[in-house]
Formats: sequence, structure tokens, C-alpha cells
Amino acid sequence: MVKNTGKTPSAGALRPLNTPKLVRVQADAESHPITVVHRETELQVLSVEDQWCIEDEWWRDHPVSRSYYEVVLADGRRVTLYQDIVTSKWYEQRDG
Amino acid sequence: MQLACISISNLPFRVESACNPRLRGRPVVIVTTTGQRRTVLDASPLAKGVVPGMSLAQALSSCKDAVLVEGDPKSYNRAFEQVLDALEARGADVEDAGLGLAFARLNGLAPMFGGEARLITSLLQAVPASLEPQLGVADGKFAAYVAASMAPPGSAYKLPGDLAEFLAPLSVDLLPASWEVKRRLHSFGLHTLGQVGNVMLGPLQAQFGPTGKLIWELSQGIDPRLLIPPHHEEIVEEALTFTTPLVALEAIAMATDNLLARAFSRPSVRGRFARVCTLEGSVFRAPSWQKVMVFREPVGERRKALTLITHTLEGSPPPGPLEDLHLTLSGLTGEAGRQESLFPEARQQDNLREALAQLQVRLGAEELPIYQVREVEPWSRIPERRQALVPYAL
Amino acid sequence: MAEYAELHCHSNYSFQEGASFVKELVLRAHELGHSALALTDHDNLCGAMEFANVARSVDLPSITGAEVTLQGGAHLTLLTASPTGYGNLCRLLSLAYVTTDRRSPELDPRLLQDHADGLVLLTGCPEGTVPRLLREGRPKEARDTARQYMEWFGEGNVYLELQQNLVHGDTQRIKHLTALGRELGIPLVATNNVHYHIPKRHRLQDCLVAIKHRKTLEESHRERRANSEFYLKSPAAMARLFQELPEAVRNTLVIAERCEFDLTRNLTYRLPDYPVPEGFTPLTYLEHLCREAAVRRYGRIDERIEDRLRRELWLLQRHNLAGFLLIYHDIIQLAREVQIDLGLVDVRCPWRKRHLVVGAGLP
Repeated sequence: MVKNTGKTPSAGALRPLNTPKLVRVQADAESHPITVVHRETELQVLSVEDQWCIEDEWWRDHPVSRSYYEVVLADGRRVTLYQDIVTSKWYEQRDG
Repeated sequence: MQLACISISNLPFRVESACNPRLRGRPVVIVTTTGQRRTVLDASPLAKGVVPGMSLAQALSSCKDAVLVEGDPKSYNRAFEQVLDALEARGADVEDAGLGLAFARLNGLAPMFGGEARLITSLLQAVPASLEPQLGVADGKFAAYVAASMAPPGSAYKLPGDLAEFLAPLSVDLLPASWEVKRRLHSFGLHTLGQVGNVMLGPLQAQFGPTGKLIWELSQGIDPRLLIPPHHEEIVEEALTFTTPLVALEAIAMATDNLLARAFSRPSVRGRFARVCTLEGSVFRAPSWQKVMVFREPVGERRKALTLITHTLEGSPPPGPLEDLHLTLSGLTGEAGRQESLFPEARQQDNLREALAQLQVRLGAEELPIYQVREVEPWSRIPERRQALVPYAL
Repeated sequence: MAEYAELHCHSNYSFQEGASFVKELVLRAHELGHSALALTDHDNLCGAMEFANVARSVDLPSITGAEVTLQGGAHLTLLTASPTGYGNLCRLLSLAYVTTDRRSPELDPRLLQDHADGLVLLTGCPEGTVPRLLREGRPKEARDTARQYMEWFGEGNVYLELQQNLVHGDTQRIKHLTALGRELGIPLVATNNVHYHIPKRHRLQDCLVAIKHRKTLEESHRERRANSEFYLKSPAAMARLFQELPEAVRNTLVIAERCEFDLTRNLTYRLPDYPVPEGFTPLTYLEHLCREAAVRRYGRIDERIEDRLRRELWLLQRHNLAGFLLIYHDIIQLAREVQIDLGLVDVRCPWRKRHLVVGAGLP
């Protein structure tokens, strides 16, 4: 039996980078984003440059099921959004 | 020397039933797997005919209605270590005599607790009630063990003064000897301790060697064996938890590297070398995992340790996704046994370390909020899995 | 109404990858109103006959094909347009198995040159040579490869295959392939790289891929597909996906019309010829052997034997079986030489000719 040294094991967490941020999005009937509230300003989506989806880890309690959109906003910025298919919530996340 | 024997029978079963009360009142078999073989680790009293060490197939044929539980030795050891810690915390010298069995030296403790009765009560309270400990008090380990076996669960029993007279009618099966020795004692017609005590020492030694001398002495109420308190080894522990279980070996290696960096950067470890590294982790929906690595030569450098550990993990990786990772370095020595280079990649690292140390002083923070970006699963199609912020180790 | 033919489809005969049976795929394609369906399993034609028969039973035009693995692991889709093309495809697959490890066959791309006749080439999934080269930033090599294909297969028999399975990178790849097509004048065609007939089968497909790579589902992240879009989609859905490239969808019909080869109708069995000595035809040589044997057996050829001989030779000539029987004669001669038990040779032929031919081989 090895006695506890008395030092508390320092448990840190691996903090993931690029975690998704909740964002308000208005979408059309086909779930394509129309407007995005970006930095407290509602901006129109000028175009959807790309679209892709992920459906993975269906064997886990929280599967990953997302529809991604790379959009150009009215202020010229290009952002990547996704809608979580399970919760229907929208998030902003950099890709790459 | 007055000793207390703390006995927790069926400790694995008791730990499991404390977590899962539905197991109580049912025949339960706790199974462990070694290689391809599945054997019984423990069984509840209702699992008739099942004994530890039996193969699973034999156990199931003995007890068809048994509920099977996958054993988690790490949690049982942890539960028992907590008991030992609690006993030591009461000031006793404690000997770990195996899972579920411990001896504690009582000499000089009674006045601290206001009497022997209070001392014994306190020792019993060191063990969670769900484990139903039996505590025996006597002079000598064997007598204390016998006393514990006679105590009702959750209570204590102290043997009377004349040990030889008390022990005489008891079965030789209680002796701390092998099954073969006991079988031969019975075959000689020596069924009780009194009968063994009545035999001359010479013939017993001739038949059983040093064991013969021991069992003769124990039967007379003489126990020459000393309590062996633990050797307190210095260890270094570091841990990480993960928001998403890690699967890829590269990611686990990265996490291990981080833990090694923190461990080796501790002032108490600087300039020293570790002989043993233990990695443990909770596995997603599976029993926990542990890997003990004994280095051929003590290792005092993080990169070398990582290379050796990674090589071991490639050969026997964890059985599933890891939810956390604990690293323990032990067997710390002051010598490597080898001449180290005088000029390791020194200056750059030293400068950085110096700068961070100054920052720490200026901020007055015990832990600097400085992180580095490390790739975890760069190929992942889920963006937040690709990289992580890892605490920078000074 | 949109019209479309799926030209890239894997059944369970793409072992440890395809997650639907041939029948399921055919019935689903029929239900969705596909104009035709191609079966392009990995490096084999195991399901081809079953596919052709099932498709025929529901009046769905079937196209026989395969996704061939080239040396280096790149993929290529080949569709048979004619019996010659079918023969070439069979030869290419055989060569791949014979010249490399039969467990993971890889075809030397140079062999395509001599076996291109009757085949339509689609440049394949993202693992095709051309899309791979574009992805790796090697456009010149991609152009050279595409030109090489056109040289071997002929213009009009090569198409740049576009797949939009909503996997990150698909859009960019389509953009690059489209630009390449415009530059070189290579037409585009849309496919969906089908691996199952309905979306929920993607879970089975994930399991199959994990098994194939001997990994758990967790560990096989890189090998598994990103989503469940690799199913048989309706013509309308494909039209929507390629609404900016309608010609890619139209070309599926062009190809389907070209690939009229039907395994259940167009493949007749042609009996082998026999190399006869100079001055003989297979029939006259067979007659020569039978007359010799008749003399050995009966002592002389009387009127009855002559009459019978003539009738049977007439039948053999009519059914073009002389070469076939001569080959049997050789086999029996060989068997006699190596003393194999003739009882192992099951010659079910009602004509007496067989008896004489067999008799010609006996001591």
C-alpha cells in the first residue's frame, strides 16, 4: 500500500479549441439560413457558398448530426454555421 | 504486541452491491478476465459452490442463476486503500495483508481515544458500514485474525487472555498455510490446533520445514511474526480529464506528454529519475484501465519517457475510449546510472521557463493561465476535436 | 419531370462496403423511377447476373459495370456498352487478380489501353486518379491523365464523374472537375456513389467498414463516410443537387442509352474452335477420327454404320459442335496418358459420335 503523498493530483481538462458558439439564425422552409445575428447585429445571408453535413457517432448518447453552411453575410464576411439536426439549434464554428 | 485484524470478506461483492443495491440478496459472481481466460474474482454468499479462482464455466454450472458482474479491480483496490488510509489516519501502523485484510498495531493508542473500547469503535468506523467489517483484537496476527473471523459483521471481538486454551479446539483450516499443508495435517489426524500443539516440534519441522515451526508456534498461541507497516514511497501524480473521450493513440500520447511535462517540471522531481510509470484511465462504458511500466533504466527526461510509454501503448492500447488519464511516477531515485549529456537542448527551454516563472511572480498566480495549442485529432471531420488547449508546463 | 439513371452503385457484392442486396437496390431504383441502373461493385462482377435478371424482371434497364482499383489505390468506374466491352471488363478484372494480390487486386492502368473497346469510362469517386490529382494540387497531371483516357477510350466514351454527397470538399471538387471538363471538352456526369438503397442503412455500412478495417466504430472515424447521403436518391433529388449543372444529370441518360448491353440477352455462349491438321476442317477431321475408330471397333463400316455416321455428322455440323467434341477427344487422350479414372469425366451427349470419339481414346 502506497501512502498518499498529500499532494492533490492536479486534474486539468483538455480544452477543445474551436468550440461551436450558439447563434440566432432565421432559416427558410428547407432549413437554409436567411439571416444571422452576428455580434448583436442581424445580417442577411447573401449567398450560401457551400453546404455539407455530418452524421456520425450514432451509437453514442449524443450523436453528431449537423448541417453546415458556409455563407457570405451582408457585411461581406464569410462565416460557417451549422444546424444541429437533433436540437435544431444553430451554431457558428470555424472550419479548419 | 496487541493487534487488531480488520477483515472484510467478499470485498469486491460488497463494493459492487454498495453501488448497485439490486445485487443484494442474489447469487452474484464477479468475473475477471486474464488473457482469454475468465475466472471468478469473488462471489456472494448466496452463490453456492462458487469460489474465487474457479473458471467461469465451472461457476455457472455450480450456480446457474448467478448474476454475472464484470469485475473492476481498480475500484476494489481504491476502496480498500481508503480503508487503510482511514486506519492510518487514526495513528495506527497498518499492514496491508491483501485485499480485504489488514492488521493494525494498537499499542499506545488507547489513551489517545479515551480507552480501548473507544479505540476499537473508532477503528470500526474507519470502514464504511456497507463493507461489514469484522474486527478482531488479540496478541499476535494469527490470534487477531481468528478473533476477527468470530466477530459478527460490523462488530469486534477480543480474544481472552489464555490464547493456547482458546485456540485448542479450533480447526487447523484457520492456519495461514497452504491448502496442501492443511490437507496433510488432516491426513495425519491433526484436525485441531490443540492436536498440532501437542505434537513435538521436531517431527512437524521434519514434515513441513519452516512452515511446520510456524504452525506449531501459532497453535501454542505464540506468533513471532511482526507487523510490517508500509514503506511510504514517494510518488508523483498528475491527471487530465477529457470533455470528449480519447480514442486515437496519437491523442492519448499527446495527453501523456502533457502529464509527463507537468510531472517532470515539479521541483521535487527535477534532477531525479523514475523507475515506474503507471497510467490509469476510466474507459467509456467499460471497466477502468491500468498499465504499469517498469523502465529498464530509470528515466529522468520527459521525451524519453514518452517514447517508452508510446511504444508500450502501441503494443497494448487501452481497451476503449478514455474519459480521463492519471499518470503516476514512482520509484524516484537520484541517479540515472548513466552519464547524461551536459548540453541538452537547454538554452531555449531555459529562457522560456525563466520568462514564464517571472510572469508567474508578477501575476502572483499559483498556476499560470498559459496554454499551448496541440493537435489532438487533426483528421477529424468534427472541427472541435482537431485541436485542444493544453496547460503549458513550466 | 426529372429523369436520371444511377451509374455508380455498390451492392453487398462490394464486400464489407455495400450495405444493400441487389434486389433491394433494383426495386428501390424502380420505385423511384430511375431510367436505368448500373451495378459497379468493387473489382468483381459477382452480382452482375443476379442484377441483370432482377432488373429485367421489373423492366428496369440494367448496366453492367465495375469500380476498378488501379495500382496505387485509385478508383475508376467502367460501364459495359457492348459484349466486347463486357469481355474487356472481365479480362481487366482477371488481370488485376492474377497480376497482384488476389485479396486486394490492383490493375496496371496501362492495361486499359488494350481493353478499352466497348467500355465507357467515368473518372470515379473522390478516390479516382483525376479527382485525387486535382485535390493534391497537381492539375497538369490531372489534365494529362484525362487526355490519356480520351486517347484510349475515345472521345464520347469518357466522362468526368461528379458526386455531391454533401461531404466537405465535394463542392470544391465539382468546381475543379467542371473547369477541367470545360477546358478539355470532356462531358460531365452526375452519380451518387450509392452504397445502400435507403438512408438508414448507413449504420450497417459504418459497421461493415469498421469490420473491414478491423477497428471499432470509434477507431474507424477516418475510414467511415461522413454522413448518410450515399443512398439511392430520386431523380428529382439528383436534379436539385445538380441544378447548376443540368447536363451532368442529362448525360446519365445519354450513357444509359449507349450501354445497351444486357447480360441476360446479349451474352451467347460460343463454343471453342479446335486447331485441326492442315487440309482438314473440324468436321472433316472428326469424321476422319470416327471412321478410324469405327474400323477398330466394328471391323468394317457397313451400310448401317455408314448411315448412322452420316446422320450424326449432319447434326454436329448443324449445331457447330465438331470443335467441342474434338476438344473432348483431346481431354480423354490426355486422361489416358496420365491414367485418370474416366469415370470423373461426365460426358452427357446423346449421340453415338461421342461413343466413337471416346472409343477412339480407349486402348
